[in-house]
Amino acid sequence: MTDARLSELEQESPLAVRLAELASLAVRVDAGLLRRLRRDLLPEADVAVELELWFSTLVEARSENGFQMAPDVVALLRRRLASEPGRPPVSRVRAVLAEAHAQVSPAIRLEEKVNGLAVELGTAARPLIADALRPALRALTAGGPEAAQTARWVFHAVPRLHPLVLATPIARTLVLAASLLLRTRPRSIGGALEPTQSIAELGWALPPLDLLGEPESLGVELVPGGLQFCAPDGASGRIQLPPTEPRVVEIEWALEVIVETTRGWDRRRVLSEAAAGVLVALAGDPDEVTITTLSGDRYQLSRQTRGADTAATSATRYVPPSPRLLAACLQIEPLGMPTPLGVAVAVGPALLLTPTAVLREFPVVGVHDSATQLAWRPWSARESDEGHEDELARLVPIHGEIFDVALQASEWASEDDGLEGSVAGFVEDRPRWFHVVVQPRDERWSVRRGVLWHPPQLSARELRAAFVGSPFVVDDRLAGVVLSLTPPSPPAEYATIEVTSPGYLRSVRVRAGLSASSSGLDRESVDEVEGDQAARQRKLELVARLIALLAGIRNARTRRAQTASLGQRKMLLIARLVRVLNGVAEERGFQDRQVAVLKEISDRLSAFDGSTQARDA
Amino acid sequence: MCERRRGPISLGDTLRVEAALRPRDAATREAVEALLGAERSAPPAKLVPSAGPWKQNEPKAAPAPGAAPSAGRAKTAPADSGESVPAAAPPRLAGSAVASRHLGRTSFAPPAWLMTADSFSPLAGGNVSLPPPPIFDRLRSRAILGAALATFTAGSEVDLERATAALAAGRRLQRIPYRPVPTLGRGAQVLVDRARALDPLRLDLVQLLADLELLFGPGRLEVLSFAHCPSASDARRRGVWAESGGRRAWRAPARGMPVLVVSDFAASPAVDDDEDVATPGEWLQFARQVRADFCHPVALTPYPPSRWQPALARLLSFVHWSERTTARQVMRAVREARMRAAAGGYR
Repeated sequence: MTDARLSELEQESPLAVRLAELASLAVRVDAGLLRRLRRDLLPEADVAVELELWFSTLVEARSENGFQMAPDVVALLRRRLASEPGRPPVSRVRAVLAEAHAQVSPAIRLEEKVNGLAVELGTAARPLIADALRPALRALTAGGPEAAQTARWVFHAVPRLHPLVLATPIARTLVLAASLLLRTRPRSIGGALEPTQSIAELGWALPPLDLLGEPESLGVELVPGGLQFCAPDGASGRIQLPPTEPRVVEIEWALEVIVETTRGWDRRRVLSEAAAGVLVALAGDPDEVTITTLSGDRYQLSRQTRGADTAATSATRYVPPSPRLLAACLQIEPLGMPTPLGVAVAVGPALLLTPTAVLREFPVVGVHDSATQLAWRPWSARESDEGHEDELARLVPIHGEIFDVALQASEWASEDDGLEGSVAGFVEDRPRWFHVVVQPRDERWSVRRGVLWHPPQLSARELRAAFVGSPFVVDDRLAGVVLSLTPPSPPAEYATIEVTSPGYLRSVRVRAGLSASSSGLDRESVDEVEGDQAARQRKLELVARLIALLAGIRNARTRRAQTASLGQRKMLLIARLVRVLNGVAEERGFQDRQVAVLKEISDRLSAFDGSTQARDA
Repeated sequence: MCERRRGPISLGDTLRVEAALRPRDAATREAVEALLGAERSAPPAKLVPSAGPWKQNEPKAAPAPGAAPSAGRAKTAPADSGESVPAAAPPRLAGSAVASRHLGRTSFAPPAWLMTADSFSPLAGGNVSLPPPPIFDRLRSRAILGAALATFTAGSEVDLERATAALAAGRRLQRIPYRPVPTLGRGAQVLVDRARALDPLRLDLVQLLADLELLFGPGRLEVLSFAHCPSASDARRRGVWAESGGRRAWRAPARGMPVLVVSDFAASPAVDDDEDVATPGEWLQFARQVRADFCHPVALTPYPPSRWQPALARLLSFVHWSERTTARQVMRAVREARMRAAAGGYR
């Protein structure tokens, strides 16, 4: 990462940039500091380098006595100081800084000390930073003029503090307490809250919160996998919060643990921001939680419908689907590039679905760690979606492979409600199930948003390649396909996903030619949506798929190493053919064609049998 | 480009299927061939209006921040580690009905370390660093400044070489030649640039003047300030001033007196909020004026020789204000400059 100003100065005077790196730990740079840094740590530089830095574009504010560099540049310079080769140890820089600033105010020295510790030691500096900040927090809580001075210093220092400093609980307490004392919004609370921090660590240092004004009401719901705050209107649970910025609560619950047949309860606690929409993961899906606010108010929330047969919510414990179904999920990649694009799900013996966005520019893709190649078969004119761009594309194996496991589609219990289920995600090239909750119907017809709890710790690109295209499975049946994923922003323990809606998946099933019996559609609805012409087209497709399956038998010979035995493989194929034939037999007015096709199949099977026996002999 | 491989379905297979199915029209036949994966490539899907109730009309959704990676991105994106992703608001999930009950209010106890933490007075102390260590340390400063500002006068020893040479040439000795010795007795005029370009060296200037005061003793030093150039063409920038006194035009000191000018000599990077910048031409004019008044101009500048104006360097005895400068270097530079002046080379 670089900066235009940095690059410009680097070209004109590389030593001036080196000097800027050394000075980046200082709150304010003046002649005395610059001279010491240059002479002690950059002896190859001349006096002119001091002037070049002083009048460079890195400087944001300049007076006759000193200057301050732009905060964004300072962050880059600190990174370079800590990581680039040939730089002096940060500890030496800190020592020179402390010597030069021996007589400056304690606030400036404290700021430079904690920033220096963060740059030098990284996360290992957290205890030292906490120790260093304690006197400031003590002064802030002691009241009097020094408390106000400390609060003002904290308020102005926040943009200059290293992110690691801001991430410490004591720094958060300082920032929050200072802003409440000054009656201002904190300039930054220091990134995300530390979930493991106790609310007591924050709350003890705050001034009386009743003086801030009337408490505000916030709704709260227990949702599958966690807890969600929402607008108070219509929420079944409500709490009152002091109007701090941000609103912070501690959520506490008991997690059932079983150790060697002994059942026990483990108290869990998490600190969270409380605002409408915020979602918090609660391990064990508890029925009862306690919420403590910054004012010390404690609320108990108890689930009322656990175990009840209400269709409105999913109030049963999460159980992942059968691992057997994971075989229907394939991670796909561009041919010749071992970088997975996403996931395809088998919905028929030789038919897969994946989001169109995954394929985009690849008409043919490969299956990760496999020789199987899949071709994108675009929806034809007759299958068009009234000019809409399709969310899902269908894939067929190029060489006639068939898939042992295909997911059967299902309807949602109620299309207006949310649904709890699982999606398959690939971690280290192996799929496993992850808990997912999908929201009730919203304004978009074809897409539903949802939450993927506890995603694996992967980069954004890897997460998308692991989940986009994955099946959303409820009760071992396909309820949707993941279309997109937004990675979690720490400390949130969930990723946001989009899955296809039941209505859209139904449309795809019909157009993709999945059998009515397997899809759960009744005969009348199929005829109604397809019409006579479409029904005839669908019958043709069924037969064509049979022939493709037969071709798979021929290819099975070349895949002998991948199967347990050729005989087993053949039996599997025949079993699958019989299942598909049963589907064909249900089609009306199709008897004559069916006979011809069966004859064709029979001939091919005989030929296959003969050639296999001959070779085995 | 992948190798084109023969599909699993041959033309014969296709014909057998079509014979079995007897498609009535070309569209059906094409569909059969496409489904079989036959050699004839499927035409691109035409998005024509049809009567299918597949998908309802709905507003085009804004691209989701976490949309699947496009092929282009997959090709060019590096193996990302910290790809920044805008946080997405979580969806509103359906929750179970809950009962909420206020349990009361608790108070938070202060931590145990509070009593042992040190006191903290944020504003005690100043806000500037210790003064900078001087560029010329005390000993070197005396030697360097002495070498730069010394003039020569007749000493007490007879210059035997000059006397012998004159007598050998048949000339009469009208005056006994004495060996010249360096002296600071003439004093010096010091012109200090107070423009912003020397702000970083403000404390060094104080130190320098103190060193000169020590070197010359009281009454032999005339310290004047100027901004940019003492004889600037622009009246607004022209002139010098003493510590107590108004601005006035610069006048050369007594004949033979050294004039020390401390400035950046227009070599400083542009200071964007400073409109008054001296030009090299103004400095050349000033140097000629000093020479014309038979004074010895010496320039002290923090910038290295590579940034000195060549024309100016021929007129002034430049001294680099740097820790690396030695008295020997300065003596050589001053001697060369005086030799150039004696030879009239400065013009």
